[in-house]
Amino acid sequence: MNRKQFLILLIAVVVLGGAGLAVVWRDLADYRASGAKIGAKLLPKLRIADVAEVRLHDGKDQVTLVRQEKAWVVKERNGYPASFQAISDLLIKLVELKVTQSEQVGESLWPRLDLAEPGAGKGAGTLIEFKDAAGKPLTQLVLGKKVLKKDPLNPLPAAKDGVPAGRYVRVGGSKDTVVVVSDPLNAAEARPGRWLDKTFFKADRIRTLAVGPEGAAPAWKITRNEEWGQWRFAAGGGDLNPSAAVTAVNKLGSLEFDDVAVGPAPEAAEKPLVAVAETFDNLVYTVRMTPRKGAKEYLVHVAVTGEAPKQRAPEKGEKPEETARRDKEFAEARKRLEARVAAEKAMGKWTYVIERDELGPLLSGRGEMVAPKRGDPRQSPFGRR
Amino acid sequence: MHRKQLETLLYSTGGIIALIVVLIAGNFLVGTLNLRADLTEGNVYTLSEGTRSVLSKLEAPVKLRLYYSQGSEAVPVGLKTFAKRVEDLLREYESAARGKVVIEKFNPEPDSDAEESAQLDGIEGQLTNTGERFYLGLSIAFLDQKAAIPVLTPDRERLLEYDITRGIAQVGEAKKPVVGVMSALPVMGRSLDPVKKQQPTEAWVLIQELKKIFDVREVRTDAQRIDDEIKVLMVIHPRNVPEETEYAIDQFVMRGGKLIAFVDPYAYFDQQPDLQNPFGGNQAGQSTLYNLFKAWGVDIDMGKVVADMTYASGEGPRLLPTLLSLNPQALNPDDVVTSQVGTLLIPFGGSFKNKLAEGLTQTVLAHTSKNAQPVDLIIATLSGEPSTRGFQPTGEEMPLAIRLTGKFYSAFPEGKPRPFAPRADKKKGDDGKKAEAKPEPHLKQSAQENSVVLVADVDFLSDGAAVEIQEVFGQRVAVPRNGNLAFALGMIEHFSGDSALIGLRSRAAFTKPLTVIREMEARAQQQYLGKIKELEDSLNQTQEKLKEIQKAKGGVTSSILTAEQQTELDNFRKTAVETRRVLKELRKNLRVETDRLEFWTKVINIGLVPLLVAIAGLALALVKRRRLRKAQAAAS
Repeated sequence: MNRKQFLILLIAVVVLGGAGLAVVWRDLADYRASGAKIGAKLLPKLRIADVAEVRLHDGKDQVTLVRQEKAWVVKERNGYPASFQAISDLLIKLVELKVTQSEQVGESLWPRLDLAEPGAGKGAGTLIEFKDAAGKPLTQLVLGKKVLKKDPLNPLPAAKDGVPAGRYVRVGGSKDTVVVVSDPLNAAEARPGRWLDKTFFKADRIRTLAVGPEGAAPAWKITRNEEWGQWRFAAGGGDLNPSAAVTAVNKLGSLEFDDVAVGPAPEAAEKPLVAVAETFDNLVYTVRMTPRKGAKEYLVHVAVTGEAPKQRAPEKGEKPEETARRDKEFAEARKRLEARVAAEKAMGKWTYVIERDELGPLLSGRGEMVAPKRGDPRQSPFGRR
Repeated sequence: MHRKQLETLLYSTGGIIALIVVLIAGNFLVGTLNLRADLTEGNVYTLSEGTRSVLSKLEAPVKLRLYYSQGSEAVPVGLKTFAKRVEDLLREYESAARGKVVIEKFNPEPDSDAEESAQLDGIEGQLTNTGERFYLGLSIAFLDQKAAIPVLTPDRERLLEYDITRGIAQVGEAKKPVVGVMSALPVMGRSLDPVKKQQPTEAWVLIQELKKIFDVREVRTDAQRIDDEIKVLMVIHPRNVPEETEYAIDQFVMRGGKLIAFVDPYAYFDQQPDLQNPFGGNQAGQSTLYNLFKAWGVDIDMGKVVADMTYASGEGPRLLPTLLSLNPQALNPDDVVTSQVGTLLIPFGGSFKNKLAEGLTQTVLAHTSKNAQPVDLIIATLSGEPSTRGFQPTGEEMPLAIRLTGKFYSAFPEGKPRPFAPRADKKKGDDGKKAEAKPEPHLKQSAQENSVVLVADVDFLSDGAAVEIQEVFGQRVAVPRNGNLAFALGMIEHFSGDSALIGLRSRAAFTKPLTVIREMEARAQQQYLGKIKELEDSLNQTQEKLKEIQKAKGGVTSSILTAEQQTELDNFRKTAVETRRVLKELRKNLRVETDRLEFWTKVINIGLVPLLVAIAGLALALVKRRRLRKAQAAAS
């Protein structure tokens, strides 16, 4: 081969090699371009510290969470304290969320993905609006249909068509761009009760518990002499079902509410039931339970009276070195109790909505509190009114 | 001189290297061009009219997301080149769709956003030997409608266009057509039943494929009515269906519903307890639609299956004449479905012998050869020589699958059958309280012309006959081994009105039979059979002769052979040896012929092109040399 032939070949190498590299680069660019559309932050400009108001609205319910000086409150519930944890979780999740897929979807097709504005009828999504302290809108987005992913290993009938694995989202100002995020955002509900701070009263160390219709003698009253003593009927009259007693007492220490009632008091189905619990701390909890007409829930009002003892009674055979320690522990416990009681007393101005099933043990009649005799069919201690 | 030689050497070496690079780069660049000449039968590698038809109906863009892990060293080269072909095909879709198809490509690296998107789309990565996750899958999406091909495999490449187009059709439709499935077999799959000691089973691949296109609803085998939403009813093996259910099917057809019924005199995959056998055991189930067939003039012999020597499967001791491998010659070339199916495997099927009712016409969709005959069920599964003994072809092509068209008359002219009389001890009060709902009007005749497809075999729909299940990176992939699924699905699609997909399914990865070899074997079989018969006849004659000789001598129980008997016996032995030698020669000749054909086919396939290239190279070299000599001669 001579120089001329070699140079021709060299030029061919440069031309064809360059063309080949260009083709490879173009192919890689296709993959890079698609990849660039995803992975971007859903709300890149939103700063959590700027958010002072969050409104969720889905056409049926609406909730406005407002940041006040010391805490967040739910506006639709007359300023009842909101759950800081729930709000914080949502905000952090939304700020950190990344776009997994991106689609161009015209406005006429938004209802198909449940991305229409709330109030637009069928196909409406859940609108979330963020505002700053001055009330200026920061951003908004609409949460649409959930993306289901097949899960053949899931035996539940509800998982037949798949389990929620993502959600369609339309960010305000994005025109026809709809994105899919890899989180179904189940917590983003517009129901106000969902966002309330669920801290509730906890009546513990109960000494006596009496339950009966308001204004009448209690249907039953139980008592015990020591904190860990056996429960018995206060006025005698039969053997007490210890299981029913313990269940009823424990329920007062673990009640959960669903919502807070606002507005005029709704019509009651029956006369209210009152549960009065006296504790070893000299506190009295009066829980008034009114069944709501036409609903499986009760309106509950809690009043806490009394004051915790200021001094501790020394125990028998207590040594001097133990006294100081126990006095210190008592003082600390009292301080905590006082703080708790103060919060519980503040709950007295609210009316809570509690499901009937949740109140079950407290709704038992006297017959259900009596220990069943041998051979009798056992009645459920959770008798319903 | 030395320097010049060194220069030449260097330039030559460099030139060869450069030439290799040019060849590689050139090959690569040509490979990226989307130019091809599809010389295959049926243009297997060209986007079909069916696909173009589906794409033209799209009202809004459909998104195809290809997830392909690049740079994975553990993946075979074959798979990488296959992935390239997938990309090429997707480009063709994009081009043909004119903006209605948007292609996105992702490289799902571990823990990347692309991998998250893949999982959201139902594309699961497969583990390679090195523990890496490899993705090669496609998701098809239109708004909230999604279809996924979780694993793209080369084994299913010929169905790739069908899979993609079906996915596009599926997501583009607002509502899937409804298909009802009635069967005495667990075609829909079944859950664990500890009482009946039944293990859970998956739905047949046929049903799984159906569910991708249609809204499939199970219809009980004792259904009293077929739901109005069902447009196509597939009845698979209607074993012991009650009269009321036959009536429901009858009225369904009268209303204009489309029926596809698969019946069978010998359902191999439905083993039922043999009640007539005192020792127990099982026997193959049977099914028919007695009343409907009687009214339509359709007849199928429940005591026979079809044996066909032309379409028999296997050879030698594994010859199974009742397992029919039908080629296109056995299928109706004018029917929109069967013309594109290719091959069918019919195991132990029956045949129709019809005297149709007035107003009905029959179109044969699949038939036997003339070298076939119905045989008793007892020899249905015999193979080899015993299966061919006494074979006498009918000389007629027997219908295996038919379409009846026309105005159907009800098989129940008196109305809904009432097999049970009301109880005599029924209280008077009950009549008032439990008054029956107003009965539906009985249709005596279909208002318009209708069509019904009947097939005399059920087994060909089962997974064992229709598909091959392969494990690909831990995923179970069903690869059609013949056109059985294509036939069933094509019929349903045709009846449901979507014929665009029918043509696509014929591009199945089944083997195309070597028809020339088959014919040679069939001819030899004929001769072989003839020789067998001759031998048997000869043996019978000799034995008769022996008996006569013994009778004539009077010594029936005599154990000593006479001279005549001895001679006869010797002749018989000689005849038998000679016949066996002839048979061996015949078989050897058959093999020689097929071996010779195979040899020369290989030589041509492997050697012809290199030979032509070598000849062309030599010719070029000679021409150049001659020119050089001429030039040298002219110069001197």
